[in-house]
Amino acid sequence: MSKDQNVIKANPTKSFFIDMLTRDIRLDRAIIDLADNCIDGAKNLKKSNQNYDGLEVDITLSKSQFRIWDNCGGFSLDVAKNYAFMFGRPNDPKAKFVDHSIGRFGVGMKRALFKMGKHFLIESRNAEDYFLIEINVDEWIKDEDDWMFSYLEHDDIPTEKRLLNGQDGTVITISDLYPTISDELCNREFQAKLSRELGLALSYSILKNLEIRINDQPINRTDISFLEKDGLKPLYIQKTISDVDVRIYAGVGSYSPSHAGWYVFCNDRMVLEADKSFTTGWKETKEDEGNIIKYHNDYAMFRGAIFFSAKDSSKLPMTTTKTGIDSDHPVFKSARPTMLTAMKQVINFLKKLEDKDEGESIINDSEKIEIMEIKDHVKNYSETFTFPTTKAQKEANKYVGISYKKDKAKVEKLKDFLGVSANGEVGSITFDYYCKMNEID
Amino acid sequence: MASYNIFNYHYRPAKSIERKLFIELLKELYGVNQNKDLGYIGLGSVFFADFKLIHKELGLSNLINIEMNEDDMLRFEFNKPFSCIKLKWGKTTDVLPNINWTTGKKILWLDYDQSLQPYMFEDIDTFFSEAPSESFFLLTCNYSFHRYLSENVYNEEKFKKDFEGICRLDVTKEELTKKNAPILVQEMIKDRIESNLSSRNAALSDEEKLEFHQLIFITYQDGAPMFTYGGYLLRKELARDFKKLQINKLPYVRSGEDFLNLQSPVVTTQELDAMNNFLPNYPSRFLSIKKITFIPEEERKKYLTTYRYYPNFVEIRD
Repeated sequence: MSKDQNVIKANPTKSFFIDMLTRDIRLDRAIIDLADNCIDGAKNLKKSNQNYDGLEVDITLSKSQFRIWDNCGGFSLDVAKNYAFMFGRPNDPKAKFVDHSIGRFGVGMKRALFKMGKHFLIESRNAEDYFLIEINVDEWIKDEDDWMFSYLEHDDIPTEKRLLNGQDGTVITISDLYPTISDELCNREFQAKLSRELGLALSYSILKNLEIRINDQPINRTDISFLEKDGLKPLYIQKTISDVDVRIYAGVGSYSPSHAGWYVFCNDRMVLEADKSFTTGWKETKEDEGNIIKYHNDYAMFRGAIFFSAKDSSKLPMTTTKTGIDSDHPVFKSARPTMLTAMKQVINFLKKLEDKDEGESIINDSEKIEIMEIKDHVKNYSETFTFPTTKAQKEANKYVGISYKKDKAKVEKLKDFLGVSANGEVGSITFDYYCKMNEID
Repeated sequence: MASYNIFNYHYRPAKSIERKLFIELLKELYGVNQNKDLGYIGLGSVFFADFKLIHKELGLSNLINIEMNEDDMLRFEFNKPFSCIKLKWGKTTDVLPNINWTTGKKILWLDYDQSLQPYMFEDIDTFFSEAPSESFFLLTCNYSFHRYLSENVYNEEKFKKDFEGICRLDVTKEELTKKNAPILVQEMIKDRIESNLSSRNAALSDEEKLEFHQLIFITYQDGAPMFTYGGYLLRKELARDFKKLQINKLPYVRSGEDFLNLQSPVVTTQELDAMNNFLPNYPSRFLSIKKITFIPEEERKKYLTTYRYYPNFVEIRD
């Protein structure tokens, strides 16, 4: 029997990548994935230099095309050949792109391209390398066995397709957009949402002076802030788990149900925002077991942030869409118990607050500290949450109500007997009598 | 009302025996006066009986007492036997997460007087999420499920509802009976410990992985039926050294599903003295000594297993 007879072909098809992979991600997230590549470029370019002064990312959205332009260093032909355009990350990458990167799976850029349209131009300049890749999806898909992308170099690149003006950087232009994408890109609501999401996900890079624009409008960063004053300070715990640096902050912020919860970052890219799901320790359904708390608006002042950082981004516990955490990832599993203990400290404090007013009085005169700003130069935070004393414990915590129904005539009789007029008093006195007789104090 | 107002802990013989067994075990594990980074966390009540022993016998001075009744603050401050005891106020579930667990090994004795409650599992979570290797965990509670008994039948559905996410889904009425309850409670605690450790160990190397070694599984009844369960938390790489200690050979150590049922004899002080004259001894030989057969056999048996720890109470008149 020949070897080939008992073999089943399991090769992926091109249409699998084009039609299936692109369904798993929302358009705004796909665009952020492209912006992530710019950030990785910036990280590569600046290395130890913390500041991104002068670096820009410019996104243009229109009915006919999508374009993202950056001057963040571009990528070399070597990286393009052995890394950036491969579907998935090679096991032993010949070209290592960048330490502490956000790109992890080798799927983000391709997925974004295929999601949006049928024609792409990718122009990149990095030192000596300057090249242009042009792909027409309808043509490319025809030959199942040929997975190559061809490119033009230097002088072969037609002048009308050059957009980089001699600077190191990358420009991606997607045209022949799918109709739904085209509609979405010029929808104002979508643009506003994208701005907000970009500002949040890339908050850290914007803080480091990277300028990001959408249709010429600069994007402001959004950060999460903790409140701090004498006697009220977030806790800070640092751990190293399997080469991943883990930093946990937990404390209080202003009263806001939509901002309460956990913020999770992987290599400074936010992957979960204000999360109140089982993943970060909140009880969602009755069946959820373990060390968890059900979210309630009494906890609307809770803020937690956890940063996973690693030189090798494949060690980070994020999902391919970077919109969540892989909750079965060993690093996350190991870090989660510490997160939950941290959360309990804050929640137990919030539970004791009488009401929203007491909560607000406690944060009076406090100072806002932006998490991204303290992250790199940690003040002397302790591993335990510092909180002020609250008013006397809620009466409701100390006492419980008991209700029961008893024969009306008998209760009336008892009222006369005890010399009281309210049903509640009868209940209370008979209860005390039972305790006294049984010497239960 | 807290149980310290019902019992004087010193006069509960089984409790007293348990305390001494525990201290002896701790001495075997940690030695005496050798542990600057070892701390004790307990629920000492106004008698602080465990704290007195821990400080005197082990030489530990990093001691934390957790007490809920903040109204009794003055009384606790007054009764605190040593200055090295820090009083922390609040429920265990509130206080334990706020303890700084990274400062060193911890011995925690959750000496609850209530029957098993879901909040106790939160305390288990905190300890097993945070405590470093070579820490000791001990939990005591009332193991009776009397509250689920109505008209002589246990209501397992009500129990399962109360312990949702904590107990198995197929708990039966029989498992709630007084005879079987200690096994069920042990299983629930053990499962919870395992699930905590499995998360915590997920990303750790084999040597760093933490294992729990059950050492104590005791029941006794001074008044209410009580259950005590505990053991040693240890990095895997230290398991071999631990084995060398041969802790399992100690007569009161229980690492499996059999529990030690502590029963203290009801005998007079003269009888105690008479029995002591023939101890230590092999059980069969001790039980056949003619000179003391007037003491009921049942009491002699109980005494044989507990005599080294049996408390002697004397009324003092002045």
